[in-house]
Amino acid sequence: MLDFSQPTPVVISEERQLSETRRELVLNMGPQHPSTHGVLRVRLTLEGEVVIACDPVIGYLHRGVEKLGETHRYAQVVPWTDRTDYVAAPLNNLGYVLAVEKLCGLEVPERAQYWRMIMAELSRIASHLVWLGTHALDIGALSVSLYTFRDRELILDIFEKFCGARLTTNMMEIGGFSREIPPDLPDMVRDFIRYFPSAIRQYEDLLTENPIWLARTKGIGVIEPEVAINYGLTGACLRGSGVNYDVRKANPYLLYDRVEFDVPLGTHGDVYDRYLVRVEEMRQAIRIIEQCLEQVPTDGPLMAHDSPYVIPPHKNVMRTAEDMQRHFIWVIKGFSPPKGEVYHAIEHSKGEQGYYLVSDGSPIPYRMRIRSPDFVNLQSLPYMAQGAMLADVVALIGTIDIVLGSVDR
Amino acid sequence: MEQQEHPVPAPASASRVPWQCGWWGPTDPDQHPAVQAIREHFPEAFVEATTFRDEMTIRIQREALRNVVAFLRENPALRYNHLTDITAVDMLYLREAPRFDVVVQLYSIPRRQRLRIKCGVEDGETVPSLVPIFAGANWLEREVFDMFGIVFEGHPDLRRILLPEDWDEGHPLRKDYPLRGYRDYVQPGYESPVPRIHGPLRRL
Amino acid sequence: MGVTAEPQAERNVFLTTVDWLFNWGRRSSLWWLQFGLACCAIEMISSAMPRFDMAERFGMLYRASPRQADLMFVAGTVTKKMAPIVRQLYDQMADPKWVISMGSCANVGGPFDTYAVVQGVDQVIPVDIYVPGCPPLPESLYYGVLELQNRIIRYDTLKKKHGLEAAEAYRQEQREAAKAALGPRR
Repeated sequence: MLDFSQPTPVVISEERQLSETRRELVLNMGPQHPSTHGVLRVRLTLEGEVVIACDPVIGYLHRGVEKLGETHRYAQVVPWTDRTDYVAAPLNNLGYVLAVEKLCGLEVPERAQYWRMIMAELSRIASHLVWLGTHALDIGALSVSLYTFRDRELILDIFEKFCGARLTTNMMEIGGFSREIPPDLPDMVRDFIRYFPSAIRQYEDLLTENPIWLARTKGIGVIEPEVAINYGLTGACLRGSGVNYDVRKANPYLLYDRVEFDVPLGTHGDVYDRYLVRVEEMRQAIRIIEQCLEQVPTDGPLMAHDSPYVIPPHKNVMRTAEDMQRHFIWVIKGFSPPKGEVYHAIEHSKGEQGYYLVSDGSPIPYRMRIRSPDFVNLQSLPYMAQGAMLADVVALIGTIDIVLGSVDR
Repeated sequence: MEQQEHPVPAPASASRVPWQCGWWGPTDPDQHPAVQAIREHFPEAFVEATTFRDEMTIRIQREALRNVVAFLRENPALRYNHLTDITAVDMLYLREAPRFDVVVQLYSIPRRQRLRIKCGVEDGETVPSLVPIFAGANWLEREVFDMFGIVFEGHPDLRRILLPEDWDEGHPLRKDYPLRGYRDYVQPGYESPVPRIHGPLRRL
Repeated sequence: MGVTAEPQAERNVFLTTVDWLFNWGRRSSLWWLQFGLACCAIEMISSAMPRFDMAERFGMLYRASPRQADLMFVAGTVTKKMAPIVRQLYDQMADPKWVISMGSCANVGGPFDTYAVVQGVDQVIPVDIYVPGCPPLPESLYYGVLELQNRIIRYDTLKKKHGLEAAEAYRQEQREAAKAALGPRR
């Protein structure tokens, strides 16, 4: 006879006991993943859907650019700097070229500086368009990526007109620009800046007050200002938390103190604020380009040809013996800057990109160090991902705005 | 709190060289506040202060690195609260000893000033890690370890970051490491129909 | 390919119409693996975007999982850290599969002849089409895809599976059997 007076004892098998204590799952968000913006690997320790720990593994695109910078002449290194942050190649060139010019003590003509600013701001807009497209694509807003890449093509057309290449432009040269500006280029840029604010309005219409976007980005990935400064963050990651540090305002280079622009700041430090900061930065970049186009002298030298550190003008090379000699020596041997070390930083679209050059007086840099903003910004991913849901990790990787070429160099 | 004081942008100037003077403070070491403060508080660790093109570089002894950086951060007159970069330079071709220079770039957000701190490290010696002071030093020091082999003591998780973790061919950014490396990659179990031919010129 | 291409094509196109039908299906709906490594990935994405629209026009769709893809664009530099993973992804793809090596880094290592870079992805996986450029323009990528489509229409499943001699012997057998079934010529 069965006895139902006592409750049936429940026996938990040994296997079940073990599996109940082992609640954590280590998930590998591998180097090949639609949302990791390149070859980033993230090792997530999950408890259910909640991320307990996050360990980004980088280095899958480490190409040894710094070592290449130690074995080639100053002017030869410029194309490799393009390929570090490949979505905003002119900005990388600019940083390196400004560092070399500081090392040599060069003064670049005003017209070249204005055009450098115009190209730098266009490059910043192009980079933010890629960021917005891929970030929205990851979160699920597929049409935004189509719109941003459509507008990015207009900028790439301008780059192609100016220097011949769309993506890896090799645009800035030590001393200015050796090629003359095409005569219809200012009009192309003016048409673009006349059109672009309506495009930004298109993206904002789709995203800024979209309840799905707000639900997925508000309150996610909050970084407090002290923590952001402690991590060494720069760029929109820092400004989204309310810290006012923009290299163009704090330590102006080129002619940024002659143009008026605002630096957008966020308040909460979450993904949504960083999104608003970057969209506003695009608007401010349009403002800067407008002012540059007004102020730029229509003619004048584009390169500091008199300096011994700069290549002589092409049209003289075949005519004057002296310039031909200078050109030959500049190309074959290179120029020898004074001994010393410089660190020059620019406001790259991702943050503060700095180049630390050590020169021993030879035509080849002794040490070229690229302080890349996304390498330092990516360190905050474990901090932001703590306690977040698995689906939010994708939003967090997007909001830091990484480009693996710059992280890994 | 730091970010409440919005740093005042530099005044516009009529003509100047593309790099702005004044980012790094006074060029004379005797007038630079950081140099004076370090000379006062860390007299035995201070080695020298040099200037090149308006940049101030302070060289200190490596054991005092963490204390000096913490002091520079906490001091209310200096407040170098932002760690910009930690890197190293292999001085093999430039001097006898010590072999490496660990370079720390600091920035003061409220005062808009940069500073560079250097310390000489011999091959095999350790450097105190800056991770207890700046959380952002974590990956920067890992990269220095990966590329140069300099060990940072006090670092919570010192392992290779840019190269595979089981890379056994050395530390690439050292001057005696060839650009092309030592070994080619061979995919196990796959014989490529395209042979790889290296030219006779092996650089460095 | 050279001399043997034309007779092979003849055999494929006129006698093995089923093969031709399958190849037409394969080349008209190539599904590519979402796998971008470096700068060329941005040009690959641009070519799938409105101005160039490589994706929907050619029936190409990107898939995240290698099991569901039959084309792999290796777009970017292959480093020694990444090479085993590229191999793993290639092995995970199901036959028939093709590889387009996009850009100089994937072709020969590109401008990076350093300690950390594999000098060409063909050291790791077999490559069908090499598209030169740094990065190649989307139009160049198109050209590469169209060349691949020309290759695919001549894809011979039997040869792939059993080798050239076995495939030719099998076809010779079939031809003789068909002749015998028809009877003697009048």
